[in-house]
Amino acid sequence: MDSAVVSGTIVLVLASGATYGWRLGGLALADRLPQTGRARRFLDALPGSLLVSLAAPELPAFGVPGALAGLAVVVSMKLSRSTLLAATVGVASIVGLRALA
Amino acid sequence: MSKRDDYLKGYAKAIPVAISAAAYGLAIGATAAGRGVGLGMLIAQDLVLFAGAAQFVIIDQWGESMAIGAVVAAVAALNLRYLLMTAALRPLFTSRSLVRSAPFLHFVADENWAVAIAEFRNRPMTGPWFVLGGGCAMVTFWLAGTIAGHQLAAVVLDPARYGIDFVFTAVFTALAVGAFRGRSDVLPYAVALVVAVLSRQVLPGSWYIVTGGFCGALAAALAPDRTATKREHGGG
Repeated sequence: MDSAVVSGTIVLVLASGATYGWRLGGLALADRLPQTGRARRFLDALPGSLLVSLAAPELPAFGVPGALAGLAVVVSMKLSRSTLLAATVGVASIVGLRALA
Repeated sequence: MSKRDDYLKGYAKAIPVAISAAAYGLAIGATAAGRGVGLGMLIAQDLVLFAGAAQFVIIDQWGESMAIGAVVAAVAALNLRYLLMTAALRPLFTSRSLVRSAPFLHFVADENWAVAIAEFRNRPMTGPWFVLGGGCAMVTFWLAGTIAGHQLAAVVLDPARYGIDFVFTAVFTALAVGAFRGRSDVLPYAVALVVAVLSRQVLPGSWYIVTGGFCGALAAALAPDRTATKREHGGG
């Protein structure tokens, strides 16, 4: 067998195990945290904070078209509450803005 | 609602984000083909690892001299966010023991996680089945996207041309806006944004997701509690 495939298979097994471990660990950890007060506010604020952290650092790499397209996503999401529509507007915006640039 | 209803609803509600994942999958599949990753291996990654960004890292490092330890460490760091994400899913899994929840957790991906969180804010439900439905939608579209990308590599190898490179950013920007709860989220959102953007500059790999998410939530926890959260569900 191709040695890249052997290495790739080992990586896949170990990486998948680690990933599943995180998924299981988070749920187990949440059980140990108090469900009121600061711990509760931490868990409540977590989803939004993670989403911002996934999205925001990507934007600067897209330059001015990215900033404008990002703004278009925010506005269309606010107005429509539809993820698919907002994302489509964003992608269409960046294609259009790049064509202009 | 029954388990079956929640499963189907989870599937249906995840279709929009699953379509965007399929578009992102096109780019991954095309890159995989370019790097010499076989179709079988790509499908195995889709099913066993089921985490797009992590697959991107492995594909990017693919080759005879791939440093196994470094790649596994990078993926583990990248996916550390799932620790925080499944912790946030706890209210959706209250009816189940950890052992009985375990099989469902494999189906937690970024996109259907966000959909499940948003749905739970509107109504009580059997979270695990909703998550499973969303996960199955993700797997279906993810397979379709990555396989198509692998087969059509030549067409999609210039992802910027069709804005495919921007799909991930657009989807997660929309999801972040959709998850915004109002005043109580201003501080965590601002902190997460600043910390994540700065971390991206100075930290390796995808640590910025973990530092940004953690610091944003920590800011909310440490701030004085003015809001007495309006969105309690059940006996929470």
